Formats: sequence, C-alpha cells, structure tokens
Amino acid sequence: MGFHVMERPYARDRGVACVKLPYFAFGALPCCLPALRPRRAETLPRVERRRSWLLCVWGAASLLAAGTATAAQPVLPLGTDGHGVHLQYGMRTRHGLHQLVLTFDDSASELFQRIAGRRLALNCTNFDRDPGVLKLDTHGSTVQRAPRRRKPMVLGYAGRFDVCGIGIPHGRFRTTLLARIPLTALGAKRLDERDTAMVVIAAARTLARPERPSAAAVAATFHGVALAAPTDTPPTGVLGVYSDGAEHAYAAQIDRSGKLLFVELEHDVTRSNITDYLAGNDPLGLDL
Amino acid sequence: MRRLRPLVIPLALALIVGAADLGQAAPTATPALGTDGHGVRLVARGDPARLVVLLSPKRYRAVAGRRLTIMCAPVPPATLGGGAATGPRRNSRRVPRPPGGTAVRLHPPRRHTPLVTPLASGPDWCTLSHRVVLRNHIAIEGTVATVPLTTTGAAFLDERQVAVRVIGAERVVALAPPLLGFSVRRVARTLHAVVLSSPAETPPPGRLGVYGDGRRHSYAAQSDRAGALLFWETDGGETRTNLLRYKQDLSLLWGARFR
Repeated sequence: MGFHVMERPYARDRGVACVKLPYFAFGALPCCLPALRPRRAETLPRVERRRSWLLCVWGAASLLAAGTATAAQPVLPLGTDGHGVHLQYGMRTRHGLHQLVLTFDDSASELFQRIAGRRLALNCTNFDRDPGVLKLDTHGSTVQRAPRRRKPMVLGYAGRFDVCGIGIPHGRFRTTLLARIPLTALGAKRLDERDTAMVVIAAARTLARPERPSAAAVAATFHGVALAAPTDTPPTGVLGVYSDGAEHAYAAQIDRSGKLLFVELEHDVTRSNITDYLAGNDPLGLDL
Repeated sequence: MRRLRPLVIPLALALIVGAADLGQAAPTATPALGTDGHGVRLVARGDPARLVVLLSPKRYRAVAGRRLTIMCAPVPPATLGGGAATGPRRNSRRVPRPPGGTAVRLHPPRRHTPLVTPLASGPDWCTLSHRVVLRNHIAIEGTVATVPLTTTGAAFLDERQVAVRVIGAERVVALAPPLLGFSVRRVARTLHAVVLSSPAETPPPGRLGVYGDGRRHSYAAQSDRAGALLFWETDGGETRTNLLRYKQDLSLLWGARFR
C-alpha cells in the first residue's frame, strides 16, 4: 500500500484519517488504540471493537509496506531547489485545490533581490502518469509581480503539479529560469534525470571538440571515470566517458533512479536515449 | 498549445511530407548555382562585390511594393556525431538566422528593377522571403525562393530537403500505426515510400524507405544526391540518426521547400 509523497499537501487531513482517509496507514493507528486497551474496548460495542482490531492490523501492515517501499522515496528533496527557494502548498482554494506558496529563505536572499518588485513567471508541469504513444503532459503558467520585501508569496495558482520552474520573464518569449523545484517523487525523478542528462551532454560535447581531448582529461574535468570501452557501465552516479581520440566518443551516467543515460557519437551518427535534451528541447516543459 | 505540441508537429510534418512529391526519385543532375530554377537569380556585381537579386517579371510582380527579406548563410560545420557545432542565433525580426547568417530587408519598388543588397558574395545559400498577412491578421514570413550560391551550399540544401522528408516520415511511421490503426504498408504507400524488411536494409537511391514494427521501432532513410544515406531510427527510448543538427537548430530549415 505505501503512501505517496505527493500526498504531502494533504497532511492536514491525516488527523481525521479514520473518517476521511481510512486507507491511510498512520491515520488507522489512532483508531486502533481502543483495541490496545482491553478495558476501554469492553465499553465499546462489539462492531466497534472488531473494527478497531481490523484497523490495527491494517495499519501495522501498511507501516510494514511503507517501510519496504523505501525505493519509492524521492531522489531529490521535494518542495525546494536545494538553494533556499521553497515552493509548498498552502491554503485550499474554494475549488478544492491548494495554492502554491513561494518562499525564499535567508540563504536565497540574494536571489530574491533579483526578483524583488519584478514580474515573476511560474511554469508548472504535471506529467502523464500513463504515457502511451504520445506523452500528454499538462502545463500551467502564470506571471505575477513579486513583493519588494522578502516574504512568502501566495501565487495566484493552484493545482497538483510534479515540477515547477520559477523565472524572470523578459518580454514575451524569453525567460531567465531561476529555480526548478520538484513537488512529487515523479517530478524529482524527472528533474534528476534532466540534471544527469545535462552532465552527459556537456561531457559528450567536450569529447567532440575539434582538438579531441582524451577521455581521462574529460573525466577529470567532470569528476568522472574513463571507460575502457563504450560497453562498460560507469558506477552509479558517476560520469563515465570513452574516446578513441578520433571518431568515436561515448558518455554515460546512471541517474539516481537507476537509468543509464548515454550519448554515443561515432563519425556522423549519434545514438542516445536523451535525444530531446540533446536537441535542445526541455521535456519537462519548464523552458518558459 | 504546449499540450498539443506532440500532436501538431507530427501532423504538420505528415502534411509536409505528404505534400512532397516523394514518388519521384531525387534528380541526379547537379542543380544550377545562383538560381532557384524558377526565375530568381542571385549574382555578384560591383566592386566590392555585392549580391544583386534578379527576378523574372512574373516573380517580381509577387514581391513588388512589398517587403522582401534576404537571409544568406554559410553551410554550418557539423561536429562528431553530426550535431550542430553552434546553437541557433536569436531571431532577428522573425527571420531565423543560422550560424553565421545575415539578413537584410529590401523594399522592391513597383517598377521592375534589379534589387541591390548590401550583402557580400561569400555565403553558400540564401533564402528570400516576404511578409504575408494571414486572414487572422497574423503576419508570417513566406518563402519566395531558396538559392544555392556554391556547390557546398547546393549539397547542403539537397541534404536538408531529404532530412525533412526522413524526419517527418519516421514520425509518421512511429505514430500513425498505433494512433490511427494504419499498417506500415499503408503509411508507406501514402508517403510514396518503399517498405524495408529491416532497418539494416538500404532503400533504392533517391527513394524513401521506411520500416516499423507498429509499436516501438521505427526507421526512415533516404540517400541524398551525394549518395549519403540519411536516416532516423527510434527504438523505444533510444534514437540513432545522422540528422541531429536539423533537430538541434531549426533555423537550418528556414525556407526549406519541399518538392
């Protein structure tokens, strides 16, 4: 069963989990307390007693499942870009959606100075959970003016998204992106994949320079390892590069979710599984 | 619009590819330099040499009194893997400029006259376009002609024409069977292409060849006038191609005409 990290904004509902969210493991535990107190349980009707025992077993099983589901933990911290910019869900609107609240903490005060009093663009994406032939991700964007003084900003925007980007718009078509913030485990996974892809592409472009730098030199630049052959797999989280010094180069890295991202260049042929990034597109839809 | 992008781009490419006359084999004769073959000529005149646009009376009537944009560029260098060496430049007044490209605007008078540009005669290819106002009052740059000025430029223009066919056909082969229920054979017939039994097979010279398993694996290839096989292959999440630079820099396709 395991709980979803994306349910975080609805944590306030957990207090009444017995009634509203009976499927939630932690909510089931308080409900089974009567079962753990036999004297008090005797005062309950038989149906309630049976129910409390069932909830107790259910809750314990759910906790076990949550413990074994540690692999589903987000690969990046949620609700923050890791550099002092936080985006979290706030009050619920009358439409039942939660408003997004943007916060810059002390470590991001300098970054805030760049946007103080200026227009701020927010672009969010909700990924297609079951992509078929076409990936139908949904996007939303809004532009609003940031306050002059640093304080939490309630964005005029609500909804459930996987990842959001915050930037400064310049005119109609250009935006300087300041932060990318994952809101769900899937968003964190995609964002980590993007970060890894960017490193792999940068390494591949360095290998493809006209002077053809050696694999060892490129590996040292990117704190990676030189591979003996393109068929070798680099250690998890470490960039691996290969080059024959002429017409064959390869760069690969395993991201935190365990997927191998690679670019292989041989003569005039490119082989890759991150072609979108390689072609300059942003599959996350955050390039405003 | 972002949501529709996955649908719009393949459909647009399908229309383009469908509109192209793919049934004819690519001409083997070297194209004439300095002309598009349909009444548009670019010649170098004067000292220092400047490019001058010479239009036939019929072609001149189409641009007389309107705003004519001429964009000239060298053939972009390719890196290892066939990628673009440099990224696209910022658009200048709605005219994409490939790496090293320059664009000028002319206002041809009503009376037929040679159009002298301030452009030096160094670039490999040029594209002429004029402003077209659509019914919804949106102005776009409509292509008038694309002219190769050097042999290298002619080879590049031929390659990019084949590239657009191949990239578009691969998308159609990948999407049409699962979305529309078409068989790969039917898609190939629509595209005037030959069906390949496997991606390892080479299509006849000048013919578009497609392969698809109807699900995850799709492939399209065609050889250009120089004999190089241009292909795009998608197998699951993995892509293999020698046409990456046309995806990396869409300005390279500016003014592409599909014949």
